[in-house]
This record gives sequence, structure tokens and C-alpha cells, in this order.
Amino acid sequence: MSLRCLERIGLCAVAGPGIVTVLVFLLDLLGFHVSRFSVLISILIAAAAVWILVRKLPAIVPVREETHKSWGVIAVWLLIWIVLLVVLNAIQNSYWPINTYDAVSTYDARAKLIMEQKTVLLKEYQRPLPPNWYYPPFVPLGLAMFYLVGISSGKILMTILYAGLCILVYVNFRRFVPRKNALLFTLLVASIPYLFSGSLTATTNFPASVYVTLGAIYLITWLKTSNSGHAVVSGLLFGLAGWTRTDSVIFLVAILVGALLIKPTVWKRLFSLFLVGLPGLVPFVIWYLWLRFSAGYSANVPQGSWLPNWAYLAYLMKGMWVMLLTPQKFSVVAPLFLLATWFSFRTRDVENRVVLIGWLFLAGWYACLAALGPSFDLWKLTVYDSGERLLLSVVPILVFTTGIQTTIQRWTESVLAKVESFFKRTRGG
Amino acid sequence: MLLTPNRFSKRLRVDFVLAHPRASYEEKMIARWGDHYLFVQFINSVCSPDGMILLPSPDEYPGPCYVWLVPKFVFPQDAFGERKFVEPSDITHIGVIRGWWPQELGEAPLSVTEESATYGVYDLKNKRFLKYRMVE
Repeated sequence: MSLRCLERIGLCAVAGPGIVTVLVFLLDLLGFHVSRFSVLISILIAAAAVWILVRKLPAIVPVREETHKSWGVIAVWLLIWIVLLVVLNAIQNSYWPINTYDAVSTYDARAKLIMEQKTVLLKEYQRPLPPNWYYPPFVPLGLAMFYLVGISSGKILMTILYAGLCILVYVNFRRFVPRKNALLFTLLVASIPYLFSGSLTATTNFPASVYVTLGAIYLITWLKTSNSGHAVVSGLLFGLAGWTRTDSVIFLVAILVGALLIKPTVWKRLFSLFLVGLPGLVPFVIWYLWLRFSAGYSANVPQGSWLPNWAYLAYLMKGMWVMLLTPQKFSVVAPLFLLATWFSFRTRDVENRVVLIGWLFLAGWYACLAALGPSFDLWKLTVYDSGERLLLSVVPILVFTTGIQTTIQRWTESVLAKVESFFKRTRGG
Repeated sequence: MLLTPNRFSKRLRVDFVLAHPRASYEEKMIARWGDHYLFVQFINSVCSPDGMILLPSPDEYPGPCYVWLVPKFVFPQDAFGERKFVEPSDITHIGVIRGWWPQELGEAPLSVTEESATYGVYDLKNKRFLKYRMVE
């Protein structure tokens, strides 16, 4: 299968559900209630939209042409592990119903009410509700669509996104690194324990992480290739990230600042291209306008003093690194990223400035929690709970920027070549 | 004591899947949450769909238990366990968990404070306590 074909499948898997839910929501606003018919119409429109979008994307030119014969033992092993993770994810998600308390009480409950009332604009919004009932309806609507067509395992939506993430991370890596490196770093993303466990629950963090990660990766690709299609896809994916979870917007700011710092000369072109894809944010705005004017919702503005709470900020910084350096949660991503930063700093190579985006994502995470955290009574808990989940949108980008860093790339290649030759010798002997 | 989710380890989960490949939604939820799920089902069965049940929030609940998960399951019956989401005059039922009773309503009825009646639902309109019988 060609890389171009893989990219199309990946984009259908990732952008497809997002676009379909947006269309179902817009049809609902126009009076076409949520039904199998509206879902079918939305799927057809979304399929046409993704088809047109992928036709605009250029053919993928791998950094090195590698034939099928050059696969080798290591590449096959890495591929088997990635496929195993996707299969394991599919088995888990198709067997277990949604059962974590927050998913049952909010997203699944909303999905079931959407099924009952045939609308996203539930009558429950006429009274006060817990905060996550006001999140944009991507996850509940996605789950409801599965229930509508008779599939009781709504969590398969997460498996589709997980598989799409693996495919698109691999495809984008192939533009910059050889096949084995691409597979190794894709496996590193797929096997991040917290990301994998996140994909087994039906909450908003994992889908937001998928959209933010891929949106950022496509923008990095655009910075390297200057092909307009990549900026448009990036804009679309960031739009869908906003449609999933509001706090994703902070990473949109981070990536735009990063792009301008890396290539200051292209800002006009970047914004015009990015705006083509950004209408994904329109339904998000409509959703909040509906909440504001129809349901009387007003966003929670953090209460209390705006003076910096130094104890909290210090605790937040410590918490970030404690979490990042916990291998049971985020694997070996943070040490590798620090190594990549060190190499980038030493080489002073313009090509390696991309690690800056990883740092800006970490800064975005820090700024988001620094602004919101003290408004919670239990801010110590917030750092290790909300903070950990928000890190899901940061960590895959750390892997991507590490993987394409030239020194890390060279080292990985030589280590993999040595392991490969060791296997060959063992087999030969 | 309600079965806590921690007791359902990864190993037990795999064993359950292998032993019950065709388990129903109910069976899976009971396997995952044990008495938590059954207690919630009990609440749903004794409350009317338009009823509003008040349950203790985590900080009000006196014992170290996962019982704070219970109100989360009760939705859409307007029970979040968090007082700020509930108008006191709209409350129709009280979820009694280990003898918990909201202070605003004064002394707890005798039926609630009885030693054996630790889990159940108190119907404020009919002044009746419906006791939940543990399965596990």
C-alpha cells in the first residue's frame, strides 16, 4: 500500500468522525433531528469533503526511497507491535462498555439523551449542570451515532481515532526519516501508557490529543515542505480539536507562535492558508453561542486574586516534570526530548529549531493550568488530575519533534542498523 | 462494604473476558462496579424518572469508599451529589449511604438510623425508607 493511500485512510479515520459530527450538529440546528438519515447524509458530505481535501495534498516523497525488499526483521517487528496495539485496543473497546465514572455520567449519559430526544440541544440545559456537560458535543454525538446505527460499543470511535493517529504519525515521519525510524517513533507514540489507556475511555482528552497532535504535525510538515495543502489540513484538525475540547485552543496559539519563530517570513501566507481550514472552529463558536443565549450558560471565570500564587506555580512546575518523567505514564518521551533539545542547542542547525514547538506546547500547558488552577479549591489535585490529562495533547508532539531531530535520527538509525545486523548474524550462525 | 473498583484488577478483567465472551451490558457493568452498579440500579428503580435524589458528595461522605461514584451513575435523574446543582425544594428522595443524612433536613428518621439500614433511599413525600440489600 502506498504512503499516499495510507494518508488518505488515516485522514478519513481522524477527520471523518469530526466532520460528520459537525454536520449532524449543523443539520440539527436547521431542524433535521439526529437520526440515521441525518447521519447518513453527513457521512456522504464528509466523505466528499475528505476526498477533495486529500486530492489537494501532494504525493508523499519519503526521505529515502525504500523498496519492499528493504523491510528487514526490525521493521517487521516494529510494525507487528503497532498492529498488535491497535488490535488490542479494538478488542478492549468493542468488549467493554463505557464504564469509567466521568464518561458514564457525562458523555455516555449525553449520548443516550441525544438518542432519546433526537437532538444535541437537550432540554437538560435549561438548568445548571456540571461543567463537562457544556463541552462541545463531539464525543457524545460520536457515541450517539454508533448507538443510532445499532453498534452498542460506542468506544470503537476511540479505536478509529487511535488507528488513524498511528497511520498519520507514521506517514508524516516518513517524510523526514527512514522507514525503521518512522516505525520506531510511531510505536513510541502508540505505546505511551497514558495515551493508550486514554484511548480505552470515552472522554474528550484522547480525541483532543489526536486532533492537536496531528494538527501540529501537519503544520510542522508545512514548515518543511511549504505545500499549502498541509496548512489547510492543520487548520481543519485544530478546528476539530476545538470542537472536542475547549482548552485545545491554547495549543493552537502555541503552534502559531512556534511557526512564526521558526519561519518569521511566512506569516502572511501561513495565516491565509490556516484560515481556510479553520472553519472547523465555527460549530464550536455556534455551540457556545447557543449555550449562552438559549441555555443561559456563562463560562467559569477563575475567581480570586490575579496576583501570582508562587507556591502554586512552583508546585505546577514540579508536577509537570514529575509526571513527564514517570515512565509508567509517559514512557521515555521526556528524557529523549531533553536529549533532542540538547543536540539542537549544540548544533544550532536551523532545521532543528522544530524542538521549539515542543517547548511551546509545554509552555501552553503550563500557562493553561497556571491561569485556571488556583480557581479550584483543591489545586494540588488539579495538577495531577487535569494536568495529567492535558499532557496527552503535549507528549506526542514531543515524540515527533524528537524523532525528526537530525542527531537523534542519525543515532537511532545506527542503533537500529546494529540491532538488525546482530539479528542477521544470529540467524546466519 | 460496597465492592470497590480497585478489586477488579487487570488479571481479573482478563479472566472475566475469557470466561464470559458474550456477557451482556449489565453483566459487564456488574463485573466492573459490583454493588455500586446494583445500588444505582436500585436507586433508579425506586425513584420516579422526574424525581430528584440527593446523595452525599465526596467531602460529606464520612467513610473511605468509592461511594462518591454512585451519584455520577444516577443521571439523568438529577442527582449529582453536589448541593449547588440541586434546589432543596425540588428534592424528592435522599440517597442514604452508610447512614448519611443532610443536616438541613434535621434529624434523620429512625428507620434510617437503624443499625442495619445503612444503604437505601428515603422517599421524602411518603416518608418511607427503602433499604438496599447487598448482593456481595
